[in-house]
Amino acid sequence: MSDTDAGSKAPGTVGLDELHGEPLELQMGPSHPATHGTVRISLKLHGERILWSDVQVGYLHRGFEKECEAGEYAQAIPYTDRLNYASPIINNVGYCLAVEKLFGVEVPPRGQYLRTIASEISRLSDHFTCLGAGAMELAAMTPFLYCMQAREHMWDLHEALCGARVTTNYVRIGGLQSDAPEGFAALCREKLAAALAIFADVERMLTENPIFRDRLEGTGIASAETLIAYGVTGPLLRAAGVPLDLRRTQPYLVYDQLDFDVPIGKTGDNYDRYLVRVEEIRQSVRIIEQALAALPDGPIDVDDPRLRLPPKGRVFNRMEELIDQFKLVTEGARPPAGEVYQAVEGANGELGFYIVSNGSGRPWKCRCRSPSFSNTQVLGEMVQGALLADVVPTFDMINMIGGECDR
Amino acid sequence: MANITVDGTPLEVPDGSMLLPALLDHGLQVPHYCYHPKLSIDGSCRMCMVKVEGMPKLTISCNTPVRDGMVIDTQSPEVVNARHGVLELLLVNHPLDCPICDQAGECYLQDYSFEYGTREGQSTEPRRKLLKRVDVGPRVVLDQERCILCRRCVRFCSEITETRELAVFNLGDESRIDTFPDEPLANDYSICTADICPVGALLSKDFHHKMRVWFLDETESVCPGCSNGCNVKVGVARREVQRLLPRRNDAVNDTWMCDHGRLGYRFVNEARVREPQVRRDGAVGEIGWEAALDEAAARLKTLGAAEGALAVIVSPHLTNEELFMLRELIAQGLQTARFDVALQFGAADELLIKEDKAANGRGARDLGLVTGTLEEIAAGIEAGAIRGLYATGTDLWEVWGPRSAALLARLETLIVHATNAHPIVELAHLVLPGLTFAEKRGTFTNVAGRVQRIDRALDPGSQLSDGEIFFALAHRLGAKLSTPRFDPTLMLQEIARAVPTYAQVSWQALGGGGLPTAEREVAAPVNAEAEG
Amino acid sequence: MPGRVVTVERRPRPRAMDSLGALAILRGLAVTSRHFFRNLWGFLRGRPTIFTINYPEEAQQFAPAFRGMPVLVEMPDGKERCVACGLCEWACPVDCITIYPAETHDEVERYPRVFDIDMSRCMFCGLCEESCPEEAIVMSDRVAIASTHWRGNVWHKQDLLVPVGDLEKRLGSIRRGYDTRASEPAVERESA
Repeated sequence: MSDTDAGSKAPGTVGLDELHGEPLELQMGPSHPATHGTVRISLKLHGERILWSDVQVGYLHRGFEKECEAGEYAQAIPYTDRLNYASPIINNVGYCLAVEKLFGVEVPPRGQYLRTIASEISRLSDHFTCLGAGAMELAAMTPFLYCMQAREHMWDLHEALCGARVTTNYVRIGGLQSDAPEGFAALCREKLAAALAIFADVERMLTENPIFRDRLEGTGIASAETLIAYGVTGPLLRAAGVPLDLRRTQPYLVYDQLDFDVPIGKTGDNYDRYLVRVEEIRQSVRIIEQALAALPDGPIDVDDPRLRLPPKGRVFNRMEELIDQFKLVTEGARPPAGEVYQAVEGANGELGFYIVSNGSGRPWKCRCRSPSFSNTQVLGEMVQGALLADVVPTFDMINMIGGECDR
Repeated sequence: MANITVDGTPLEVPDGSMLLPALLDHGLQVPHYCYHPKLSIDGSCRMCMVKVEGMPKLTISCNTPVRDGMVIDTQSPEVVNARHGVLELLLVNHPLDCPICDQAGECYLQDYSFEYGTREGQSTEPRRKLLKRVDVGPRVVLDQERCILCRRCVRFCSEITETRELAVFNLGDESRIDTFPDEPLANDYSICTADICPVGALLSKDFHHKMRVWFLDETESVCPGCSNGCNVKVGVARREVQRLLPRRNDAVNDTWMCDHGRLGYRFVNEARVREPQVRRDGAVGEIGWEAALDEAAARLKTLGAAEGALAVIVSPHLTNEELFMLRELIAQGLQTARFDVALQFGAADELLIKEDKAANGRGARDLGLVTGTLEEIAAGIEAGAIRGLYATGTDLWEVWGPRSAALLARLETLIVHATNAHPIVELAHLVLPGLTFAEKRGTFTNVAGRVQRIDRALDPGSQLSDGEIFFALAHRLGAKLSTPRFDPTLMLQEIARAVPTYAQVSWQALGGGGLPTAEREVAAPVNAEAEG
Repeated sequence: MPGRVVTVERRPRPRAMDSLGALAILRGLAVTSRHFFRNLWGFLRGRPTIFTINYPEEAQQFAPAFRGMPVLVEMPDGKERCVACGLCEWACPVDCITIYPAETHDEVERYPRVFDIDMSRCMFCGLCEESCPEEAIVMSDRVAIASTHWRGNVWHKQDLLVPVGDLEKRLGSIRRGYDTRASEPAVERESA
């Protein structure tokens, strides 16, 4: 930037050396009303221009990976809820798919469809959070609350499925906590309709709004090459024009049997990221509708006492199942020794679990490949030389979720 | 040695042994119920069946002698099917007791059913009803419904204790284990039947409904109940010792231990003395460690200066390392003191129970601390010549018996190491808390001269061990010690240097089974091989 | 299954619209006014359309699957159904349950002398309910459990007991999943 070069100045202006002694050092965070999540962005400013920035994460580090080593495989699942807490079921699914890969088992079709539906409900929850919080940080309070209302509908669906709105703990190794309740399909359609209706109002207020467009268009741009070099995935990368979506490129669950589009952007600015997420919301609804229509009957769990508790009614009455219950709870699922990596498409990108098993009931290592961590790295490049105000929509559209970034 | 092939892998096994123990000794998993390495062969459970090439039907490996060139398959579909069958039939009548049965977590039926059993039982018939919670003996309770009739308990009572309290009554599917009228299961090893019972049919009353075994941290150690030194596992949970179980050591106790020793862990948890106490002007108060050690050293120094005024009564419950440290303390800091070991003797039997009731009486003897002058010391106190006594345990109270109170009251200084509340504590001028066998690392030497490790099962916190107390006192008395601190491993090295018969002993070399010292006075204990 | 990659399009921005910022304001006001009048009409009619409920006067309605605080099932005779098997204590990821088993001389020989749950550690995950082989600990719909002292967070057995009749909703929800295998139906429950 020309302002920083000593001695070079446009006519009639005052150079840096003459007027200012040093750039202003500003700490944005870790608690800041305009950054959702706890992260510290250190900035050096010249007026409103950012000369230098440093993103410091780790304020929400809680030792997820170490915690997993202390308990059995099944006990780690409630901890995965707290990774990306805006889309908890996707974390559950990613972890359980990894452990199932170690065992070499696959959940029956109904279980897979329910996992897909639940994952997409979580994705919707995450996108509503991101767009709503993003709007709020640009001082649009009303769309924020409307998005929260849409998110409430999604959380009502979580609650109907598994009993908790956010800390879902819905997926199990080898199956699910419980089958969908009576009337779930109807409830789902009703809630999706309500959420889409209110989201339509959000779009009316935001998408063509001049102030919103001014803030987001042309800001926070990073080239696709840069993003790929940083390991960025998810809507952040797709907005830059790279059609990478693990649900298409490395399909898991039943995504390869469902028809949905992958939205990408052109310029990779914040407005593209917004539009990509809006389109993903519509696609997620499509996925859920197709999956509900195609939802097969049958069991939701693998019938294997090595990894999944037997049906409770039989535990009350039958010796074999009672023994299996005792052995599985006290010794835990013991996957064969080995290592496995399983990635799913989280709301923010590639969410991967690298699990190393030593054959015992406790993981030797459970590494979580966090999309938010890779994505947040790029913030510095994106705001270099930009205005201070551009940090806000850029950070919003990166959608760093503290729990996922810091684990 | 015979060469056999098991599941494609060649193995070398002892000639003449049965197949099952040979496979088990190689670390292979072959499920079995009625077979036990120290009992006669029963062949009733049919669980250990394997396929031997050349034999038309499956054979039970517990009663099949090895032959050179045998080819065995333990995983063939036939074997798998046989195991399914045995387990399914065992589970048909087994009560749904897992939630209330203590054996859960160490139950052979649970383990084998999970590993080798069928997934679904086919019978929907009601299960047989037998007696539950039968009071078969003062320390053991029987649940007939859980019994799988492996008859290990019957054989134990018949072959090991030769008391024959248990028997199988009735025939066929009416069979049940029971005792005879007015003849309870009351032998001194009755709880061993609960050890060998693979299911929760026979259970120890002491451990009944106490704690789930998956919460227990188990540490290998040695029972301090008598000088036999039965190898044990100390089970600890919630910072208390919950139970002792015998550990196999073919040179000491096979797989058994006596009830008295097994139940003798309660003192570790109850009425413990944790802080030093001093008695001044009739009142007992706690003082800090530094002050206590200073006080003890001062008193010992004063007494030590006068010829013959001090006596040290050594507790035979201390480890070899602590005894060695005490020896150094006496030799270098208390040169004029008289000393002897407070050995206690009681009834013995032909099995494991020895008449020397101390855990480390032999160790004390090997380290030269036994002088046989305990009576003279008592006389010295009576006469007033001995004015101070340093008792490193509370055993002398039992040894001197009823006259202890009167004798000890005559002393102007009585320093006592005590682990628990005890009458002698009331008379002491200074009480130093001691650690029990479960809280320290060290070695005991059993009556046959075998040195065995004990290890820390419970964390004693900031409490000093007896050895550390001796070390601190020796320092204060100006002794020149060969080690920088009291460390059991270092002390053991010193002992190996100083005592010729302990030359090959080191912490590493002892391992889990211990090592004999160079001479052996007593022959191998316990019934040798069971009849084949 | 096919699916396309679609590029998101942004609408062109006529400068006139921007300088007349009022149009955007009017558009936004139209949306919020619509909400306002719909909600007002809802109030006047007596059928509120807003999302907010007036807690605590209005009670929150939970789904049958809702996981609130764990409670112990109390049988009609006043005793707990729990036999202190210890599975929930082991299954709990945060070790919030403490059980001291003891013997009874009743037909059921084992019971929990002490059954404590530290609610400040409990994360309402439901793993205790899943591991229980006796249907003795279930998640309730109770969430208002704040205490003024940290010790008030440790709930003892007497505090945790809830009569089985009051737990029908939850029991109904979890019983749906009891027998999912297509084989012969489970026989009547035997006494443990």
